[in-house]
Amino acid sequence: MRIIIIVLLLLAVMIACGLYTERTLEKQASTLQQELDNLEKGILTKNRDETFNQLKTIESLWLKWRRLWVLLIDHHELENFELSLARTKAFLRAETAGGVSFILAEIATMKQLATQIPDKQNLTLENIF
Amino acid sequence: MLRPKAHIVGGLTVLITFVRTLLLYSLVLVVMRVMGKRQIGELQPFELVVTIIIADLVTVPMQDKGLALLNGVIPVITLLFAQVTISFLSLKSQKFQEFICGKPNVLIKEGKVNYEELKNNLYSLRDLIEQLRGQGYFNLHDVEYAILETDGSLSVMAKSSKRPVTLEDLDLSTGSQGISYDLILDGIIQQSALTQAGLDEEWLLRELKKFGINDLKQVIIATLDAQGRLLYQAKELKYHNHQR
Repeated sequence: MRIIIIVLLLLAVMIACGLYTERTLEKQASTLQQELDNLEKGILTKNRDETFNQLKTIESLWLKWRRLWVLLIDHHELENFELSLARTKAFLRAETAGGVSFILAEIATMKQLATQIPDKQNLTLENIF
Repeated sequence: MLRPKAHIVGGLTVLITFVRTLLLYSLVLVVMRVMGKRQIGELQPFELVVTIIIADLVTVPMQDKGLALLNGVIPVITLLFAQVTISFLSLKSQKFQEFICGKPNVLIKEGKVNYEELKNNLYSLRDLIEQLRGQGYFNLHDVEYAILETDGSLSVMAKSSKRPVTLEDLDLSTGSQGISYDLILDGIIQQSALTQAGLDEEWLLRELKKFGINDLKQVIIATLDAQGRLLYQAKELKYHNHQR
């Protein structure tokens, strides 16, 4: 009987943590997407200062949230996001004429990853099968 | 910088796999312990399934540093839940237990092979004979009953003329055998064994003193057998036998 209670408690904790982390991931991913949208706007309006500030904001948010994401998500996916962010930063610094299209492509990649990562954690038929 | 500084003591990346392995190993140990002796003994098919799956589940996250450790932890806990639930329901409902584990099948009854049961269990005669040989029965006709248990083992009862002679057959009576108690192991008194034997520490120390043992740490093992004899072995490797 004691074992059953312990196991049920463990299960309840696991489900509760799962629900909490799912909600948190969704919220954080949504914020990340908004910030990426702002970054995109900054690039399209050629506002250099705003673009770099926006990039710093995204980086600091990422550093803060990464601690939770690394516990739940495959590290390869996080690395992909970080690579895209690093490339975006490099292209911005390079300031080449053709660089804008590369930056926009990287931002699109990051937005897709930010959507995809929490989606993969949801309890859906697609994820089960 | 996109990654925070790693909070790892030392910074040797080779220790990552080491730590992950230890964590998952500890988890599996705890889970197997919680599942209990029936899981370790693999009494039923669903327990065998759990053992196999757990081994595979923890191997991949142990080796692949790119996977979140929770990918190993959550499935193991889920299996723990499933196994405990099935065990509990099996305890409460015979029908459920039969559904999950099946029923024993009598393959040999009153010395005759039950061919229908053999076929139903996809058990060939060769398989049966091989299993009987494994249990020391080289002649199928020496067997009265052979039952295929739900864990896949074969329980065999020999014909009365073929089984070993017992004291009852010779009309001899014996007293109750009783068990022996290990009172000291590695120099440490086993309190529960002492209590079960109806003795106390003072008695034990007194007895050992009679044989020149003043320090418990000198005693590797001390056993009280069913006849009340205190048998002990001290570190000088002489085995002593003294009557209580």
